[in-house]
Formats: sequence, C-alpha cells, structure tokens
Amino acid sequence: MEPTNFEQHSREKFEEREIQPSAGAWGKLEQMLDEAQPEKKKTAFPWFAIAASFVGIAIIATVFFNRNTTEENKFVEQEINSEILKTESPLRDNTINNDLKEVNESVAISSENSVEEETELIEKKTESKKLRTTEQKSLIASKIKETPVVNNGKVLTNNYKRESVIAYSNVQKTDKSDDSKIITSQNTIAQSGQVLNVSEGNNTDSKTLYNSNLDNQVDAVIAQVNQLKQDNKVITENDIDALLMKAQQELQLNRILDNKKVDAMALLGDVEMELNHSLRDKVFFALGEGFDYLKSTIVSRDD
Amino acid sequence: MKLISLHKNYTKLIAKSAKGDRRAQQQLFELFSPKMMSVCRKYMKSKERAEEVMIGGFFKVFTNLNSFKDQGSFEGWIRRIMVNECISQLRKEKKFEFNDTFVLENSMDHVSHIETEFEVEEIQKLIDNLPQGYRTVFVLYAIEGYKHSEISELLNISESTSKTQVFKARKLLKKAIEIQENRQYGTN
Repeated sequence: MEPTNFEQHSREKFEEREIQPSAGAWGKLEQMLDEAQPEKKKTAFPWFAIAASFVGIAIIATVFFNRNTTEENKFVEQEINSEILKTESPLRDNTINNDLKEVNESVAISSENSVEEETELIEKKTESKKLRTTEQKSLIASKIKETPVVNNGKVLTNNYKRESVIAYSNVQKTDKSDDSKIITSQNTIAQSGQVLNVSEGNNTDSKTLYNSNLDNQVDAVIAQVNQLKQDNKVITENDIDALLMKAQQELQLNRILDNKKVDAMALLGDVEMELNHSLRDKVFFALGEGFDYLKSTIVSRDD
Repeated sequence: MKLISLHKNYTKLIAKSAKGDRRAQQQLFELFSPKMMSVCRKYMKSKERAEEVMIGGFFKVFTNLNSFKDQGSFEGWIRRIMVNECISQLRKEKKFEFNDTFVLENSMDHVSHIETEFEVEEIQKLIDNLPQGYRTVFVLYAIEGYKHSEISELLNISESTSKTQVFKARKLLKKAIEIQENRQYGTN
C-alpha cells in the first residue's frame, strides 16, 4: 500500500461524515427559540400595521370630506340668504294686502324707502251688549341692520336694512250696566319692509313657489274668519291673533321643509317671531297692569 | 459547487427562517445538523456533548439569520458559528492547556505519510486521545484548514504557540498511528 497523507485523508473522511442528532434535538432547539422569539408575535405584526394604516386613512378621509361639506354648506347658505332677502318680504306683504282687501278689511300701506303696511282687521259692534273694560295699545318696533357680506373676495352690497314697526292697538269697550258688549278690536300692523341692494339676479321660481304657499295660507285664514262670521260667534282679538299666528307658523314650517338644505335665516326668523310674540305679550301684560293701577289711583284720588 | 447550489436552492427557506418560521427553521436544521454534528464532534469528546454544542450553535444561527449576507455560502457561515461555539464552550470548561516552549523543527514530516487508510471513526479516536489544547489547534489547522494567524486570533494565542501545538499533536499522532499499524501488522 502506498503511503497516504494522513491529514489529507482525515480531511476527506471528516468531510464525508454525517452524524444524525438525537430525536429530541430539534425539540430542545425549538423550546429555546420559543423562549427567545415567540413565533406568533412576529407573524401578527404585519396585520396590526395594515389595520392601523386603514384606520388612519379612514380618519384622514373623514376629516377631509367633512371639511369640504362644511365649506359647501357655507356657500349655499349665503346664497339662499340673499335669495330670501330679495324675494320674501315684499311678496308676502303684497299678498297679504291683496287678500285682506277681499275680506273688506282696511289696509293702509305707507312707506318711506320701504313697504309699510297697516292692517285694520276687525271692528265689530254688538248693540245688545255693551261692555267697557280695557283699552290697550301697544307698539313694538324693531330695527335690524346688517352689514355687507363678503363672498369669494367680492363685496356684495347687501346693505340689508330692515325696519319693522308693529303697531298694535286693541280697544275693547265694555259696559256692564247695559249688559251689552261692544268689542272693538283694531289691529294695526305696520311693517316697514326691507330695503335691499343686492348685486345678483332674481330667482323667479322661488318667488312663485313662495307666493302660492302664501296665497293658500291667507285663503285658509280668511275662510276661517268667514266661517266664524257666519256662525255669528263673537270674534275676539285673541282668536284672530291665534289664527294669524298659526298661519304664519305653517308658512315658516313649509318654507323650512321645502328647502332641502337647512336654511339658517328661516330658522332665525322663526325664533325671532316667537321672541317678538312673547315680548308683545309681556308688553300687553305690563300695560294692562299699569292701566289698572293708574285707573285705581285716579279713582281713589277722586274719592 | 455543491455549497453554492445548496445556498441558491434554500434562499427562500433561509428568508422564512429569518422571519421566525418554525417549519423553515426545522427544515434547515434537518438539512445541516448531521454535517454540523460531525464538525462539533471533532472538537468535543462525546456525541452528547457535540449535540449540546450544536444545538447552541443552531440557536445562534436562527437568532442571527438577519446578519447573514448573501455573499458567502450558508453552510460555511453555519460551520464558522459551530466552530466558534465549540471553542467558546471549551474555554468555559477551561480545557485549553498550551505550552509553547517547545522548539519547532521539521514539524511537517512527523505524520505526513501513513501506510494504513484509517476509517473516520479510527481517526476520530486518535484525535480524541490527544490533549485538548493539541487537538483543537490540530483540528483547526490540519482538518478545517485555518491558518496559524486565524487560529491565534480565534484562540487568543500567539502564532508560535499555534504552530507548537500542531507540532506536538502531529508527534503524538505519529506515535499513536505507529502503535496502531504495528498492532495491525502484528495481528495479521
């Protein structure tokens, strides 16, 4: 046998050698790996990252779209406001005038740079009964002024000036001795409308729609008044007030419902109307109390 | 060529193992553990000890897979980790005894040529009978192919000490082989 290089021979032999580990070798290693790096934690990480990114995108999208919607609403709101200012008040006042004439009620309109309207609603006398008790007069005046509105860098000279005067006088005379009652109620509503300088065009559709609604409501009120007349019932000032208020509320409601979007001016008008009403009641109450006090003072002085 | 093809074929397996995929890790373990058991067995005196060290080595392989670069062979990378693990373990056990006062002289001729082709297990026995210090340096130098400079860095010894250890190991091996051959010829 030829001499062999022992080291070279050993290298080749060791290179070919393979020793199978014991059956539990992988189990031991797996246990060590589980303690050092849990498998679930690593596999779950990407899902959390994906879920978190989706939530983030959703939040950003919501904020973005909400901001857009708000801007759009502001624009629409302003547009509608100007439309209302252009069309509403003069039309309403005119229509009321015409319809009230038909019921033989006196309407006086006086204007000074505006539409003013005075309505004398009912004056009624019943000869069999005379009653004089109270006499009330009230005057409510309110003035609203608005400053110019800036829209899209363009100054609209929306010098909106509204001046409304509601003169309300109510005279009731009662004579207890004759057991007869004379009720004279006089409602004078003077409203000075709005003077508007708007640099935009008119919207004829909204005018027509609102006009027809107003006609319907006034017709309904007149019909109810006629019905009461026919029934020969005593119509008090409160009845007429209630009817007018009801009709006005329905008009406001219709106007709000007809618009697909919320009209801030309509809502504000509604609230103002209620506020004025309550204020008027308070004034009436105060005047009534004052009158009674004055009367009793004068009577006691005479005595 | 074999190593390169193996590396190319198991790139996906390595990538999955790096992400903590237990099945991929088990497959890699089953593929390379017999070879690595052989590597560790050269340094450790028993199969059980070799397995313990090999498991520790594979643990380091799987926890440091991200640091493996595609430039070298995967098997070579694992093998280096196993050798380091063996040396680290032996150092912990304080099995190294180096004596470098010996004068080197014609050290390469001692066991250059042998008459008998030993089986691998016979060679393993001859190596096992060497003192631990001699054996480690001899295996690193003569079997694994490390240079003396690399061995000096690895074992934190001087190059001359590495050379002395190899010389002593060869001298002892020559005696052991002569005894082995004389016994064979005597029996035959």
